[in-house]
Amino acid sequence: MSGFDKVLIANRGEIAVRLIRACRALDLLSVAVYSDADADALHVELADEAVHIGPAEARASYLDAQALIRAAQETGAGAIHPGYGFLSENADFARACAAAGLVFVGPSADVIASMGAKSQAKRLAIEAGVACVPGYHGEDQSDERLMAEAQRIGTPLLIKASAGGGGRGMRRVNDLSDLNSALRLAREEARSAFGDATLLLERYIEAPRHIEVQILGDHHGQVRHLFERDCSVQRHYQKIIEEAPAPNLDPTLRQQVLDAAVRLAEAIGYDNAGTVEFVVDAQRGEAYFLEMNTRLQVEHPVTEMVTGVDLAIWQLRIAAGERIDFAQAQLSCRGWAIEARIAAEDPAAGYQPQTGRLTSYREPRLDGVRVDSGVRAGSEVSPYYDSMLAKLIAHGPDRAAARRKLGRALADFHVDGPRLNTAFLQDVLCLPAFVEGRHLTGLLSESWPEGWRPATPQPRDRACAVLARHLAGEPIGDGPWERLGAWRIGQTSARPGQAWWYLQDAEGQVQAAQVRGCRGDFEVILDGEPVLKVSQARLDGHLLSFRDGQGRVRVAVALAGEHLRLTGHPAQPVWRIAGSPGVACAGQEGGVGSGQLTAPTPGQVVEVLVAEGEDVSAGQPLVVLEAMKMLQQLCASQAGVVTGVSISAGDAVNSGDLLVSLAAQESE
Amino acid sequence: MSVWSTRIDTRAAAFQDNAEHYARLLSQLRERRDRAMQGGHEKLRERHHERGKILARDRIDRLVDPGTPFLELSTLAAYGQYGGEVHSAGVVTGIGMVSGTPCVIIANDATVKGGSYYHETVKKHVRAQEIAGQQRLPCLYLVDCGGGYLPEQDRVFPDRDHFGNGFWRQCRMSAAGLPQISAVFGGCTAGGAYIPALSDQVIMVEGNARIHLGGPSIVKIAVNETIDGESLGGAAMHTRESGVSDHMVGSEAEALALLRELVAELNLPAREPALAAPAAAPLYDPEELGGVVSQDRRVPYDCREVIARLVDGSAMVEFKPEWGDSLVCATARIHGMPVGILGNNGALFSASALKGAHFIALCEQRRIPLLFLQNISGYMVGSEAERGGISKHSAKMVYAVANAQVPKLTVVIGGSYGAGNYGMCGRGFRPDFLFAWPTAEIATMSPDIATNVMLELRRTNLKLPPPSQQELDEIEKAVRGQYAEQTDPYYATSRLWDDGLIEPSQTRDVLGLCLALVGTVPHNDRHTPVYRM
Repeated sequence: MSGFDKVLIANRGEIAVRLIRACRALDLLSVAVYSDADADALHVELADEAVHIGPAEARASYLDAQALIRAAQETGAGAIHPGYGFLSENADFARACAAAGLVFVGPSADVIASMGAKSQAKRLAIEAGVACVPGYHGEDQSDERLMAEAQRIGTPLLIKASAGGGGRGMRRVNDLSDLNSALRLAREEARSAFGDATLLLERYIEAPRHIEVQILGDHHGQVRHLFERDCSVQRHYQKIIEEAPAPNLDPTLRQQVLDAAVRLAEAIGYDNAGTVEFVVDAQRGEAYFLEMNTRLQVEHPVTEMVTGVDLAIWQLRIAAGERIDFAQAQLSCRGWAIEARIAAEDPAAGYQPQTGRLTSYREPRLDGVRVDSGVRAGSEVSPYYDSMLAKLIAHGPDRAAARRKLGRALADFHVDGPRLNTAFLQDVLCLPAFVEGRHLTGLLSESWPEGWRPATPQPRDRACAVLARHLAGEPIGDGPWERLGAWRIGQTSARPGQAWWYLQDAEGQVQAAQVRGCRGDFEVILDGEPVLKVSQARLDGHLLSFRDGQGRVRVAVALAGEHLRLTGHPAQPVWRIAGSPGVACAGQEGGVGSGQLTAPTPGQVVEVLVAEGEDVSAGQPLVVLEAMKMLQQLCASQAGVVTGVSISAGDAVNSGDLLVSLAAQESE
Repeated sequence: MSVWSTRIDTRAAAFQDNAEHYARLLSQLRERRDRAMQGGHEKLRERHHERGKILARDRIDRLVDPGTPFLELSTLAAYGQYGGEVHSAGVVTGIGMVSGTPCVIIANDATVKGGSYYHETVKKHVRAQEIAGQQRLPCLYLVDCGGGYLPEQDRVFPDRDHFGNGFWRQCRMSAAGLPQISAVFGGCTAGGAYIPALSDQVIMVEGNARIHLGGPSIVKIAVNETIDGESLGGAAMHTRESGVSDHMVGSEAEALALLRELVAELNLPAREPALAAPAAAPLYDPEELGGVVSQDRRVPYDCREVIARLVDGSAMVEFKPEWGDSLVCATARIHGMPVGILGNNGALFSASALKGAHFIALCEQRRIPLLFLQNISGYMVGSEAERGGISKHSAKMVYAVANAQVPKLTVVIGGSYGAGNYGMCGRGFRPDFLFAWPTAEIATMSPDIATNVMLELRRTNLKLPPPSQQELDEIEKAVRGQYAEQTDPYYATSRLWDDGLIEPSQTRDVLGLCLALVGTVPHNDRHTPVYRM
């Protein structure tokens, strides 16, 4: 195996950044690739070189094998690191790299292929003495055969796409009478998603945990395991929180799993970083082989944190032909690491991806917390790629410490722009089953059958926000006018200082808030209702603290100008809190809002742009009027339906004449 | 600077007695101030709210930048007059930060006699405008008034400093580049109509605001036209037809928000930066001031003990500490800003007067604002004093005060008698601000001396037969009664002889707020009037 000095990183986002850093650690030059959507991305800036490879759509850029190989050749890169996702487990791509004389940083194409098809992978596992979930992985895909196998396996059972992954193409059957229709749907899904309708059947595990083993193999026949990870916290079969080691795992079972993973890797001649995934039936205490991922995993950092082994660096070293220079016995698992995936998504709305610009971005800076991020302030979150932006990995001496640290790190992750899942992740960390380390893969759906909802901000939360804003003030100097607060002549008796703030929520609702008092003693009144009465109130950076009936209270806030986010609150509510409620501009009201568009001046109607019954949106031009040799467009000031058109083109109108009638429509 | 080492023992009986006495004065002040600041009768306030209106001081709270001071002036104006019903003279005036700009705010209180202008209302309104002109501050008028109080028209309308003066000042200030902006919340009839009409910009609140030279009843009499108030002078008519108003808003809250935005757009020349050092609290608690000041006017106290409780770090540099010691002169800082302080430690002798004149000249040369702490029985009398030229020496101090160009602040702590009042920058000498403590007494002379003078005049009156003892007793009773009434600080503040009664412990903050204004007046050489079109 030949060496290389320059590596093309065929990926984007946090993993591209992570791999650039690994290259740098080995004094390898890095080449980033980017699509139109990523021209200003962080990985492009950090790499030594960057090559544009196509439009935003992944199919025509990050999935375009030829474009990637061409980029490597043009920049003189000797190797391609595929990262995860995209082409990382594509045997054809690995072969194409080899054919082009490029080192593919990963296992050999044959190994990828052997583990790529699930049926074949399971057969190889069984041959290596690794137990699989009872099931059918045969080539006979007839309904009759599948029904017979299903009867053998028993219900509940799972139908999966043989070429699938990530939960797509999976279908649970509780009753065999539903099998035929389920098979039909599963085949269609499999064909459309993967171009391969082959299905497999498996026993459905009632108390499943997702346990996986990190493997490193080299080109010299050596295989090491780097202990296990627990990735049981999943939503829609996608991992969101991972940890190493696995909590509450029977030591015997743990050893069985580690041994099995090494056995399989040795059997197939595994020669890079990979992960052997198992499902552990927590009731029976048995582990079954699920699949092998022939690439670096998203969650690899937790293993790095507990073993001290840099997996990305070893991927590169192995690809360059180096031997693994540590024995299995030299490896140990120290402390605990937990990772949370920060994604631009709304967990309260079916994890809907969120897009937009990160107008501000601040990562937590805490000892024992690693941040792997692909974004920065100003980054644009586009709809083209995975919604994961960054990973927080907390390490502690034990699980409880790591969990607390991760919670703190999440609370100290401050972003403005698209909504992130940090509050949701914080809530997950606090679920009793997770706290005890006894959670199964059904944790989220069982904890929140109706879907997760952030706690609704209460008046007390709003009052805290106002108080923090009040204490932050807007100091424009340090004279008495700035320092004395809401000083009043009557404050020594019945008439204390009183500040009026206006709190506007995301829906635009404005609430008036009075803050009475000074020098630490404050009362907050919302819309006339006293809500909060505190003493010793102060604001230290991002922390509001005060004393009230509940003792010493601390509330985390993030202030950006007039906008305040209650970072300590699960819903992460953001309010605009200003000295004025915001004034509607005159001219934006009236007019069509009253249902009638009238001529503002005498003139001639040049064109009528709408017809009766037509839906119009706010700002849409309705009529073009000519007056004093000037054309002017008359627009709808709000959405509505045209209920009448009183004029037609060519009509002369006087000021005040009715032109178009509208029925106003409730705005969303 | 040397830090003052106090000689006050706060556990001593005399201190405790003084403190208790002052506590009683303070509770009386607070009680009277609270009542005045409530505004009109409860029923009137309720009706005000029912009309969607906000009380005058609540309007100000919403107008000023949240979490910043409002320096209210002459809270007890008209106190004890007109049956004690015209609280704060029906108008709230003061200085507050609006969109980062210090502004004079003049807000009518419609719950007090409909916001009508009494003699003191006019005086308070004009005084606030005078401050705006001197300190170069924009004027914001929160208008809700029924014009002049007709039964008092002779004390409200005709004279130089009466109602017309307010309009004259509006025009002159606008020309001098000081924005005049009105938000109209209620009726503005006749004279009242000119407050918005003479403003650079006007906001009207739909439904409640009215501007008309003559209301519906006058219109009916004068031109026999029957018309309702809204059509005659409502916000919609004035904003969309007459152009008297520039903005119409749906609520008072919106009017105040818009006013904040208009102020944010003023593009005023920047104020001079205050020469402020970091401020340090006094070493000795200002709350102790009540115990420092003797309740018996004849028992002296050291005014340096007062200064030590007002200035940063209780530190000062005394000028001529061993000469003319009945006048303490010292430079110090209040809220970080330099100030030259003159305080009385007894009657003023020739030496004290010369020392004062010299010190004023020093501060003038160094552009240090002056602070006069008055507790003065007057300049020394007697043959020794006269032979020593007390008249010409005291005149030098008066002359220096009158001509000093630096800003001047006065606090009347105790007595303010006779020519001492002049030399120590009384109201007649136009200090930028003048406040009084509840222990203040302002008069030509003390009641004792005044009684003696009046009795002597009667005895020596040749046109009348010699007085009986009964007549002399009656004269003494009448004079003492008159002086007791008229030297009462509430009598003085009711008549706007000061800018308000303040508590001793508030004094430092009040002076700090004032110094930050008087020390930052921008230069102006432009004349830019705005005419309402």
